[in-house]
Amino acid sequence: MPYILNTSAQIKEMLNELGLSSLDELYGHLPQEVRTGNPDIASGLSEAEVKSYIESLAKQNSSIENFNSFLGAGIYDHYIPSALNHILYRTEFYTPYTPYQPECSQGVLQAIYEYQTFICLLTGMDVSNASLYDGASSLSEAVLMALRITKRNKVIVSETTHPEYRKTVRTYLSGVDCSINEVGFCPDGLIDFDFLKKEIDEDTACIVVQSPNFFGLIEDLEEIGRFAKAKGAVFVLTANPMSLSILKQPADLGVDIVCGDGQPFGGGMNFGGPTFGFLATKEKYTRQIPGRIAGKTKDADGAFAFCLTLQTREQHIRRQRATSNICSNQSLNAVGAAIYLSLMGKDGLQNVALRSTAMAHYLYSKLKQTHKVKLPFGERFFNEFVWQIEPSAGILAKLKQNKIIAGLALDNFYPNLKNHILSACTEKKSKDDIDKFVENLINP
Amino acid sequence: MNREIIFNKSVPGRKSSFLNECGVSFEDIKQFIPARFLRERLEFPSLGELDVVRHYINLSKLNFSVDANFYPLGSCTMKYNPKLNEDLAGIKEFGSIHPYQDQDLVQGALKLVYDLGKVLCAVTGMSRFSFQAAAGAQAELAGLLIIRAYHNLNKNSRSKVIIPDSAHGTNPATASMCGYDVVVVKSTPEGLVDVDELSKVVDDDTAAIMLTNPNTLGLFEERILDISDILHKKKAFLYYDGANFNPLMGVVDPFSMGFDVIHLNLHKTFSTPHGSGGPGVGALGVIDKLKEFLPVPVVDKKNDVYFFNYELRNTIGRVKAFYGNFLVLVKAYAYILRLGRQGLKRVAENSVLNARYIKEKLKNHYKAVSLKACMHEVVFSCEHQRDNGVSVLEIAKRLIDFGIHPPTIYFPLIVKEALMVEPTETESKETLDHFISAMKEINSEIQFSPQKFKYAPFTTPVRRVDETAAARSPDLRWKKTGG
Amino acid sequence: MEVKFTKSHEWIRIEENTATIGITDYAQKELGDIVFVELPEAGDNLIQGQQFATIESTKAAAEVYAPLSGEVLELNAALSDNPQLVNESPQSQGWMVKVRIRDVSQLQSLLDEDAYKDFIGKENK
Repeated sequence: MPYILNTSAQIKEMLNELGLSSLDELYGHLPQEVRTGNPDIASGLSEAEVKSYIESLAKQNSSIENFNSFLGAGIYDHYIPSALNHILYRTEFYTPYTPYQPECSQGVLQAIYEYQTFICLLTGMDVSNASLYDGASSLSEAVLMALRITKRNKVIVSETTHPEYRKTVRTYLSGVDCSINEVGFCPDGLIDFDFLKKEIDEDTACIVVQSPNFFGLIEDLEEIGRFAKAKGAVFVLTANPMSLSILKQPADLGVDIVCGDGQPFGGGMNFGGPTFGFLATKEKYTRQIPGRIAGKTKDADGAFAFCLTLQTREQHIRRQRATSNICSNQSLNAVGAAIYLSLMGKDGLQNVALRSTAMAHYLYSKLKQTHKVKLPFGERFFNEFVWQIEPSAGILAKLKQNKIIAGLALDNFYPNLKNHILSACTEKKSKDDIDKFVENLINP
Repeated sequence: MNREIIFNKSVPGRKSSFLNECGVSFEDIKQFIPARFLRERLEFPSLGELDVVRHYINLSKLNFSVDANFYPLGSCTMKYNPKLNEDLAGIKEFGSIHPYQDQDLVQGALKLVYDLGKVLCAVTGMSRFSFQAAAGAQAELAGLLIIRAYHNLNKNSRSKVIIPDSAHGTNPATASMCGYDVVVVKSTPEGLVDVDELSKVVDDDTAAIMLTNPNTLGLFEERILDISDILHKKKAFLYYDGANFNPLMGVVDPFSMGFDVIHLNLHKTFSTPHGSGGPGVGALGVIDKLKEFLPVPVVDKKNDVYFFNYELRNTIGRVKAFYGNFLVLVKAYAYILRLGRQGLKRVAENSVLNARYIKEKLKNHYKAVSLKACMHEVVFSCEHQRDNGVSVLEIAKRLIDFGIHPPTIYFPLIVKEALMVEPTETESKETLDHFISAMKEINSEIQFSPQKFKYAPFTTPVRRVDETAAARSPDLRWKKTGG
Repeated sequence: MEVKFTKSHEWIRIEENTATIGITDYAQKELGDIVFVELPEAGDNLIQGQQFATIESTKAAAEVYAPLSGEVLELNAALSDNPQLVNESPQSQGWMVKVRIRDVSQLQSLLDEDAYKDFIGKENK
């Protein structure tokens, strides 16, 4: 039998020790009615058979590498240095459990501590946790934090927050007594301040904003921060962390909790997962943070050492009074981010962000020159933006035939934005890729 | 070895230069993004590729891992992670697909998800699975919200969730996140749910019970059918925390035990690696009448074409963006295909055999918490050792010196000085015997040199770590000064 | 000056109409190394039998229950930087709050030292 080492002789010997004559007798004390087993599934395959079958499934997918793709919307095709996965796929990183026993887990604990530091340096915050599941659930946890901090029950969310994140927040809060109000956007694609002013009041627990927002536009966070502060509401930002390498750090803009999805930091697209969620905040909210946190301390000889800490916030100790139910997180992906950020360094990372931004703006200007498309929103965007063409469905399909994936049609998420397309660039895009795309658009 | 934090290894001016020519400066960007939005400093380290490789490879060597060490961590099912799984999850056509690619470009991925759902339905008796949840706790959240939505839809909202005192901490934490009051039922002295006590607390206001079976004492809840009767008579649901499903796979299905909503931890039972704490998958299964409540999308099939179905009538929404930890599903599916029906059953049987063998061999040395036959894990109480001056924590630390990762300790909470051992089926008799002899040796050390335990472990990269100091004065990140 | 106790392991020192409250030596030993103490704010009203503070060790979080009802007059601010005072000196420097006693009759529900010792003796069996 695959993956079982004990031989029949050993099994027999062990059964003898137990005074049993068959494996079946191990279940002798179970009620007969529940011993229904024998599921209707196929017999086992050889390793070669499994491999060839799963490979045949993989072949029914078309990797994004076969296309000139401008898809983004939360998952980005950045370059992943070869060294990253060589390190991360060390079995000493991917097969251990959560490092509850620090003496035999120093490596991963230190890597997590370094990860937390990277997130703090990037966001300007004081404390980061060791990761959450993804961007959407980290935003939900941030909102739950804000409800605990303020003991208020009104949540305001900008409509330009990723639609799947907003839906996740609603699900997470569906058992909690609170209201969720969405604030719309102006014709320029940025948050509607008049609308926000009307919504925010003394019952508001938090304002949730995504920036760069779902349309790629950079919001005026400082201004939103002032509104939040005036009403005593917590300001929650969800952000593409890559953008933070060149944008002002959220802590300086009045943001109280910053969260998001870490996929741009060396993560594969992976059909959407696994990625990881990050969450960082100010020191005063440390004890409201969900999930694990690694800390630096000393060992018995006084040498520096690491361990998981402040665990009394967590479910295995505080049970129903825990800050969250989270146990497993996305540790490996967070460690991957620490390795990626170490490999890239300050200049390397900023170059990725600058180049992605420049490429997106190059595409924007090329599209503008065609006079065939509308560019409904402003130009203050990071690596993605919205454009409009009619009829978008037909044009996207035509481009796809020419191996170009132009972007994401927005009408599923925003019924009012018919024929609107969200396109992203990363540093992997060349001017040539962009020219070809625009050329195909003009002369299909 | 130079054990330093990566930020202290930075050498100004050094870089890896993955982009040869960036060709874009901050000045260029200012024409699009005004300077007031741009940052001035970013204190990331400057390192070369070899610096980084060597740093993290050396860190990796400080960890115990399943590939190098026996890991009998109770309730965690630290079985061997077959290498085949990793190869398959690494295929480019799985890793390099974007979640918003058109569905005709991802038919293989969708088929895999669809077929994995079907297989798990066959193994568990459930009607449909969702793979959106990234871990068991997140599946619990979705599962309880489904129960909540069902009761609400039937204008029969309820306020209580019942949880045994031996339950995993995620259960009460989840119930509380869903707005339920937690009612704890005590265990009998034998370690099973007190069914008489249960029948007193279950009423028309009870939404559900959350149950692990075998429970965290490693015991099969023999009166599970009585329990399910009690709950179902009050139109309450049974939630199955599948953390301990390993010993039942292919032998007992949760549906026949009366469960309505279940989760399976694919990173436990189905061999996907724990990744030092994640990613996992909490596969969420429900009975027929709850199918329409699952998170969306689910994968469906029409005329041999697979598609994402967002149209579930009573869906609770989403717990995650996109579709879950897809690559983990590839690994779990490969495992199931490899083992097949007979293989899964063999896994279950051998997981029980291994645990029971340990119990048999150690029961005269450590106090087994229950006299009942254990399933895949066995819980000892080291009270006697404690009376001789050595706590279970110290026993756990000493085990590290034998090359063994400590078992789960101080859990379940209802057992004093608990030591919870789950060997899993993938370990050989030789490894079990090594563990057994280590435990016996520790016992004699307690008798003859108990003072030794204050300082164990002796063979690790660091000595006993001061967790108290860590919590009293938290240092949660490196800082430039004094880091 | 009179010291009383509760079955939930709090001690209460009564001076005129003020009660100083902390946890007992037995309780701190059970908890182990204390790493954090969460106290109410001055001016908060305690209600007898309800939780008013939390004491955390690395592996446990214990609730502390109000032995008496009354308004919080003063907190032991030293505990925020030195939670270990609860371990080192539970019944003196490790005090937690001072409360203005609202209802003197509640004192009757408290145990005296002998009765408390008796109680923990039994609990240990």
